[in-house]
Amino acid sequence: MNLSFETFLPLAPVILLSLTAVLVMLAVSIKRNHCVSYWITIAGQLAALVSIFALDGFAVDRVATPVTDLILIDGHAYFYGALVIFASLVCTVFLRNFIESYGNNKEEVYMLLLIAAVGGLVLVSSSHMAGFFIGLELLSVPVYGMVAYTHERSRSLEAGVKYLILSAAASAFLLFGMALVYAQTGTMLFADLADKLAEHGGYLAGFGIAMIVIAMCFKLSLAPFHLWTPDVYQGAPAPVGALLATASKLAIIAILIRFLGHITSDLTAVLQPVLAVIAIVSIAVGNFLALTQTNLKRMLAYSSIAHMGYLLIALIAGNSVDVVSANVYLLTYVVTSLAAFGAISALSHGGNALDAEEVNHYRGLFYRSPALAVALTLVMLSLAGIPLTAGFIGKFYIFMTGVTTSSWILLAALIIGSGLGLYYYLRVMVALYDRTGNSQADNVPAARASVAIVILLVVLVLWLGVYPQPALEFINTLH
Amino acid sequence: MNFLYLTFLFPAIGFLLLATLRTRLSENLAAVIGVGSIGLSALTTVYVGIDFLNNVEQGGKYVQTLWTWMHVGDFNASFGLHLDGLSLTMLGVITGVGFFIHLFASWYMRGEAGYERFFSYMNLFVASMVLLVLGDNLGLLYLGWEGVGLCSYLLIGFYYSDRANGEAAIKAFTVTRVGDVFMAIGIFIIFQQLGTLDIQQILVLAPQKWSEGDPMVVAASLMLLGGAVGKSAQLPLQTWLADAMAGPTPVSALIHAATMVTAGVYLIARTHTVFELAPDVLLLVGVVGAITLLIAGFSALVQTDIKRVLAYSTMSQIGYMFLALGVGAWDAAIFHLMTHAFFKALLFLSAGAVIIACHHEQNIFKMGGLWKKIPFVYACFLVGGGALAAFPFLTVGFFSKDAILLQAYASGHTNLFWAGLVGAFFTSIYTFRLIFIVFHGEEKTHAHSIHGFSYWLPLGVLLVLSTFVGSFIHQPLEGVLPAFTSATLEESKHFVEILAIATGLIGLAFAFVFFWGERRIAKSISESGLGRLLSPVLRDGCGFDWLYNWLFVKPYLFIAAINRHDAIAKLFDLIPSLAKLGNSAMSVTENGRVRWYATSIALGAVLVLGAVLVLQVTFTH
Repeated sequence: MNLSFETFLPLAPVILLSLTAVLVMLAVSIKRNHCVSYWITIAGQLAALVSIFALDGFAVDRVATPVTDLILIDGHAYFYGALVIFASLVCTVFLRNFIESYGNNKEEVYMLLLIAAVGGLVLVSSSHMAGFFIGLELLSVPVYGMVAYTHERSRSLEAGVKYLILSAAASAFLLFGMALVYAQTGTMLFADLADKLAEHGGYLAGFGIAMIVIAMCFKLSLAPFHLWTPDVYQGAPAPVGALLATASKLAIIAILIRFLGHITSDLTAVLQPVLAVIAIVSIAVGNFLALTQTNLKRMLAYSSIAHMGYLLIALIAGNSVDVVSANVYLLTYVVTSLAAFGAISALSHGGNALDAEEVNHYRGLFYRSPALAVALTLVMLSLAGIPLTAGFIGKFYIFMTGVTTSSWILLAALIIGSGLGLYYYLRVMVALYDRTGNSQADNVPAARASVAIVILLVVLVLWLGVYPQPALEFINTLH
Repeated sequence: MNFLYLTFLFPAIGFLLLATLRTRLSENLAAVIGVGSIGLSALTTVYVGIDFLNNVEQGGKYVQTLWTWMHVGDFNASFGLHLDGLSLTMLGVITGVGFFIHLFASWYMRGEAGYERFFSYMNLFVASMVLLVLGDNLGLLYLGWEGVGLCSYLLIGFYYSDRANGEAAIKAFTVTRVGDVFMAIGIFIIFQQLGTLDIQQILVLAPQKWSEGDPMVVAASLMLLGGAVGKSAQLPLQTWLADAMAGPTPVSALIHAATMVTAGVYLIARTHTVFELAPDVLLLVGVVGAITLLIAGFSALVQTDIKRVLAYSTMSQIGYMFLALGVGAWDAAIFHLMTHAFFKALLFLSAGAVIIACHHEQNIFKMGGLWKKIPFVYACFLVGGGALAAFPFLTVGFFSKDAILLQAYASGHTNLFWAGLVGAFFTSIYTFRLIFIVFHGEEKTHAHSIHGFSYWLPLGVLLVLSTFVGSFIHQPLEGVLPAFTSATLEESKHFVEILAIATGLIGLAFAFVFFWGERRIAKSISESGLGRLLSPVLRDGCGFDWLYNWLFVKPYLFIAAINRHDAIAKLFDLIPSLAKLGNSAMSVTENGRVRWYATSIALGAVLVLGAVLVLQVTFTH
């Protein structure tokens, strides 16, 4: 294969982000300066984001460009890549204020974040088992470090170690699954997978595919592989939680969609009922567990379990993955989740023993920080899927998928789950306007930059909810 | 015409400003925002109207699709405005009359608690009403429909510290809700049958899909009629309007006389094709109107509250509009709608002025001889009352009512015509009874005179519009609504005209005999056995409240009493218990131990792999 400059041009976002990570590392080794590291990170990610547009990443007539066997750049890859960079960019802003008051080394967290973002980009564009695995590990390993970054907090350290151990177990499943598939089919290329599976497929290959899916389910915190989620979300610093809930999940969904598109229809038929059960159980488990939760981070963790369950409906209802529904849902979910974690980040400081994570912290927030309280209200409405917010549009698309494919049981789960969800989202909203309760967070000023980003995100939430047409049309042109 | 959306936007912004700033606004600023927004909206209407009349051919339309809210499959929910002769007429009435009423209200409400709250509701009302008449699909129309219902509720109960006002508001809301449910069902039927909510498409598709008298079109038009009678206070859902007078008087003028209550007339005119396919239902519209106008006319005769007299007269005038719709006199109905808006707004505002002058006294028998104290209001009342009683040639009401009676006669529905004529006779009596009692006879209160620009300007303008001048306003309805055709129209013209004039004048003479001066005859009648039997019944709106109380309220309360412990709720209590059970069962799994988490992954994997094995085996065999 002739490797020229042009070959690597579509990889510009990946290369730019990698370079930025190196730059941050160099800057740290020369002289520690929080501000410099922060702005390098921001600039690098902006450049990567711009490069996607500069490369006509979303052109309608874009053809899929392979870069070696490992990577395939297409509209799908750019859409998810842009979302991953956007999420990590937003998380960077949230991180700054948080880490400023942290007593220990501050700058390395940006390096970890950038490496994770690179991993996410590789993952969303990989077209080969090797790219798949490398991307996933590149995404996960820095996140262990980020979760445990505030290691003076025992919960943070514990969460990091827990995530590391369990994630390693999941990776083992993934590798074993890939090995089984390779053993049966002799290929690691996604493109050849379907043919080879049809030719040489057997129970073992089916097991292999199932094990890969199990590993993905772990990463997406789908039941029964979800138990780690609340502990890790709670222990991780709030901005890292934002990254875990958005960039990480996004990239994994992207590869899952791509991977499921390359297996035989026989195997799809086998996996569908299994995944349907997983979706229903996830929706039930997530919503039930969130009901009595008074810790906002844990509540968001449980709600993310339920949300991933909803999303799974788009992937399994019908004969093929409903990519448009999945994309719409993810877009709305990512924007909303970022805003939710952003609000927590804005009130949290790395120097404190705990984040502002108890619902009690937010009691009467409206009277101290009205803008943030209103933003958080809208975020909760969006998470609950109330009309005129982004969450409604996302859920509506999932609903439409369910209706057009007549998946009534899944739809029932979606509806019952949404009903249960209202209860705990509304409870948070009530607390925001509760004048009577005494708040524990009276003297924590909200970080201005984070609040500004949260408000921007909420404007986006409303815009997607009120006037979703441009975004919907854009997503429709991708496929 | 590109600015059409502004007619809706200005009041909406006014509402948002007033609602969010609330008490931070001074009274003057609140008045400027509240009245100014409607003023700007009215100016926009004038501009758009001139543009429309100059640039769009007769019977044409202008559609402004602001955005598509959602487009999924066949369902297309757009946010579009539709302007044609009919909606332009309605828009003119709403923003024009609305502006003058707002201006008057800025004077009338001065010093009241909740001044800015009042204007925020009023602005929201105008915004909703504009949406109702401009919406190009039934969904948007329904949004406006519910919006005006909400504002009506809020404003009837404006003086909420008095329990009776709150109850009146609830009554209005509940009764109109019954109509709204029918209307929603009607909309569902139309969407299910025609697959669209776009009104213009409905008008095209309806004759293709349905033959005349098709059961579905009968059902759809009956349901729409249900909505219309609820909103327009016609039989059998008319009971709420008299109680709605609990709101501030400008509210009665704007919402419960000039605009909202005519929404039913607008709805029927807007969907006229559907009604024409169901001739029986269309006739029913006319019959409903005729009966309502008679009942309301009788009731108005014995009322003692100045606003209730006007409320019953509103019912009866809308009855005329329904009658006109029923005989196919579409133009005449809309013409009467417009003239009625002028003179009824004038009457209500004058009544407001009278009430203020008499220190918030509303009982007409405690007034009297006011014409010397407030001659300008007296003039307004004379002209407005004259128009209401269709005083020949000088007032606008004569022209519109005459058109209705003439077309009713020429259409061959002579029963409806005679009902309308009898109604006109009673209208004349109760109108002049009101004027004689309030403005003539001996003085019973010490009324003070009133001044102010925002008091006389609205009255003055409406006064001019209520005279024959108002009849020069041309309504661009040609080509929008079907024209009335009848072979006997010309020949019966003079006969009907003379009959109508005579009826009105005889009514006036009766009123003079009964209610001028000492009112001896009227008193002797009301003290006679028959009078004592009838007048309480009539005063309560012919006993419909009593009937509905026995028919609906009592049985409902009875069932409610039986079901005091709410057996069905017990069933729903299961849901939280189940959720709690689920919660506690799941919570056990979250114990924080990594070994258990790892085990669960392994167990889950075994389950998944087992399931995959079983499924693979079943699928391959």
